[in-house]
Amino acid sequence: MPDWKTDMKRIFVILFFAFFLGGAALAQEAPKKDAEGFEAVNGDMMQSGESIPGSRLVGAAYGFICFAMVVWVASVARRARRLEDEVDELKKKLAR
Amino acid sequence: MKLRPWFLVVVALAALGLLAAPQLILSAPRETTMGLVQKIFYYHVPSAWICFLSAFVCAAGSAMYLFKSSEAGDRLAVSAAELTVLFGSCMLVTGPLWGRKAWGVYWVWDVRLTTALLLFIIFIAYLFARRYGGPGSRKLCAGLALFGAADVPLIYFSVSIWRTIHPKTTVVSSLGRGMGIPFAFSMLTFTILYIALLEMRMALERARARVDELHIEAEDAGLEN
Repeated sequence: MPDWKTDMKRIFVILFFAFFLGGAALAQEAPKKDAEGFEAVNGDMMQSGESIPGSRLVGAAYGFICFAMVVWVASVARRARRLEDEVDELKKKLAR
Repeated sequence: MKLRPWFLVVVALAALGLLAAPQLILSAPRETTMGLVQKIFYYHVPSAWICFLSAFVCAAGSAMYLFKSSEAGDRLAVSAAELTVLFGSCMLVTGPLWGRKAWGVYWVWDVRLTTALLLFIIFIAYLFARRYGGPGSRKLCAGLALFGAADVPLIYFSVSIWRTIHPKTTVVSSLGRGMGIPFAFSMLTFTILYIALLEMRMALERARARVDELHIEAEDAGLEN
């Protein structure tokens, strides 16, 4: 297997786990008391008439970033694979 | 595809940062008026920062290509343009999600939001022109990149010049330690991630240049029409 394929697989796995373990940590939040004058609150501070919980919006934002990065890395890997095939074909032609 | 020797080190650093950033963000104080949704700030601002940085990198590469006919500059420009679109999409998606809670609407035609959308559209146009523009499109795109980068200062200073609903740039300098450290960490992590992704994309362009060379060799040898 060419080196770049191994590299791409490693990158893909590292990014996948980094994002999704990070996402898991985000889901396990516990409110903390701080000493800087910020007001500690419980829950989501959803205002009256508001229908979307903040946690869903935060999750959607984080999820989109993960999704966009993974799709982009996969797209680069796919393009690299095509180029590698083209190089192999051209090398064969030139060797004849 | 050949990657630089330092590439895996940068990827490892980015991965470590991406693992640690959520922990730091969660331990940051919760903002009093917006609550949990303010945590989008720690991803939205770094996405915007990288989008702007990438637009400048693209412009620098384009200038190298336009004025010095540098092929490496052109490869840098096209790689950075793609990342401008990638991080621009993150900025334009995470911002409205935050805005929905903070302002009650996903989108307003505010000058900051509109100029940011314009930047995104310019770089989408860059990529389309590169893909379908045919011969001569590289120079056209280089000019477009310079034009796009000129939009970045306009976006940045728009909140200071015009009346706008978007928070001002001074919000970052007014952060306390509790919010400032996770924010700085998030910015650093995104920057390291950007370096890794840019190198990956440039390796693809280098491989493409190699393929072009082989095509020329095959043509010279009479193997291709």
